[in-house]
Amino acid sequence: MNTVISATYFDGEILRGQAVGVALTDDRHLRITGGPVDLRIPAAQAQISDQLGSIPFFLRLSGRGMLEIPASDEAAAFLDGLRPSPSRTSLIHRLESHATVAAAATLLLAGVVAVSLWLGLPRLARRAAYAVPAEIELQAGKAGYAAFAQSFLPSNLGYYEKERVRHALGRLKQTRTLHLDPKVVFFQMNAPNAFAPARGHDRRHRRTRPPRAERR
Amino acid sequence: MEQIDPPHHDNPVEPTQSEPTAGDGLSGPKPGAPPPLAPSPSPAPFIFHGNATEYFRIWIVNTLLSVLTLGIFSAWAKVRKRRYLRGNTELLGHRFDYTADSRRILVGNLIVVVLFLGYALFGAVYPAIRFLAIGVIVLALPWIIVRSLAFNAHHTVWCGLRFRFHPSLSAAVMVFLLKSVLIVVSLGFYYPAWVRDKNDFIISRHRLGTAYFHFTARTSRFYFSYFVTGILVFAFLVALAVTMGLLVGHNGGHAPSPTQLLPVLAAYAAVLYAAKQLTFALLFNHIWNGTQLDEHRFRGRMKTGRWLGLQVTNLAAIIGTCGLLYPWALIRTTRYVQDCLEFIPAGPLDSISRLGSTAGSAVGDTAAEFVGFDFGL
Repeated sequence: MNTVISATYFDGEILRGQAVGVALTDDRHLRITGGPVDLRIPAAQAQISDQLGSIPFFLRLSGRGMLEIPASDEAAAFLDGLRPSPSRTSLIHRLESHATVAAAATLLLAGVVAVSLWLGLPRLARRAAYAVPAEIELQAGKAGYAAFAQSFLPSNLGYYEKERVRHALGRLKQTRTLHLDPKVVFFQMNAPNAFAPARGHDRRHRRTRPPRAERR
Repeated sequence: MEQIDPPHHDNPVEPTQSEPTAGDGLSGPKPGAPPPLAPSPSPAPFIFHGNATEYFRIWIVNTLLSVLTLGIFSAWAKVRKRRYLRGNTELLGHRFDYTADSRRILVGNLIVVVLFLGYALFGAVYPAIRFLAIGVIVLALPWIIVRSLAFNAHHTVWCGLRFRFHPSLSAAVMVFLLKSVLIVVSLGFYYPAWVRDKNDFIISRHRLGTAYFHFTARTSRFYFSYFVTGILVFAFLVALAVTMGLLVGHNGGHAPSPTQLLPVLAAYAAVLYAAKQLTFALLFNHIWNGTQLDEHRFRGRMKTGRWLGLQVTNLAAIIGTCGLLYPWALIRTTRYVQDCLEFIPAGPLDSISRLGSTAGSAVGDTAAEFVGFDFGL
């Protein structure tokens, strides 16, 4: 037997603790002695709680009670000797001992995730939107048109203003692969919208005269 | 359902005066005759040993690994957090322990995520499924709550004994479904009584080994607390309405702009937060003073002003540092709560012994967090 660690033993049957000493014998048994307690338990049967900050260690003795061991370097070294293999939490402990690195990594990662979401989500949405089959797109367009036609009056935009919007849409169309050739219909929404004429363009006072074909 | 015998004490041990002991101070190692855990009936404070720097290290690693593993590590993070908080809580010279298996919580997390994704995806295509799912969740709520409480109680250990929660589903249905309807029917007037019933349900069904918790707090104090908070919130709402009226008048009859509304909304959120904290502080002492473990009592000594100050500075610190001071806020909150709490043993505790039970389910625990239930236990 080498080191003796001070602990409190609880038999798990009643709410009473007993101060004990714990030692590891040469044949890898835990010898727990103190007051009326004299136990010899195979070390392999003891379930040892992982180190976490400065909270005490708890050893559960497979149906024979438990030990509460105050946290200390000595206790940590003693319990490391009981574990059959290095604890799986050693990486976590290393990270915890370099909290600045962990904090920097977390902030960096949070930044990367935020930027990825900011840039990636619209791109993903665009890809998903253009992956819609032509039939569904047609149905959606018809349903949308019916809804708009029910709610809004026809637009009172002049010919040239409509042409400006058509031209802008035409340029947009060239950058996309479309399943269908879109039909542009103008409504009077009386609210800002993506295809409204450019800023400073007051359609109420602008007199435009469409060509003969349009007037017919 | 587990059947539990009523509390009995075949060999009650008389309280004795405290005497110096060699071991942990309260459970001395006198050979052959270990003294009782609480030799003196004097109040025993809850002592919190955690510190913000130490918890920051744990929290930041939990956060980093949870993000890196797309949330998988959060099950381990949850257990580590609870182990840290309970492990740093001392009563009568001994610490609490949390023994939950992270893998069970992970399974619970996965089930909840799959169900939520199913709800979100199928609900978007078939809206009827949303109503069906909400109905199922509401009906399952008592089970979720009961299993969550049973799971957490089972995995909380003090002095070698586990806490237990008697999982009575019918009582949970009564409190969380049937009595909830009364809140709506009474236009909210039943709410304080319901909060009292909820605390009664949660506390009275917990036990430590064979010792039963009892809840004897009166309903009137709950009404008083919610009345005080309600008056303050109502006064604020009146002030808010006047402010909105002035804003509309200032804008020539038009609705206020988002920029004008922002400080109003921020003040509204702050008042709701303060109201929640005020209710907590007003009820804390009442709830703990009305709680017993067999014949042993608890005593709450929270000061409302100090609690509000603490929570306001916590909120400011968390917002001001984009969440980096969350560990500091949590540790000082936990420390203050435990500073405000005392256990008053009526005698030695060694008549309390072990009780066998089932382990509960981590699914309920996860689901309870997911739907935003925080019982503050």
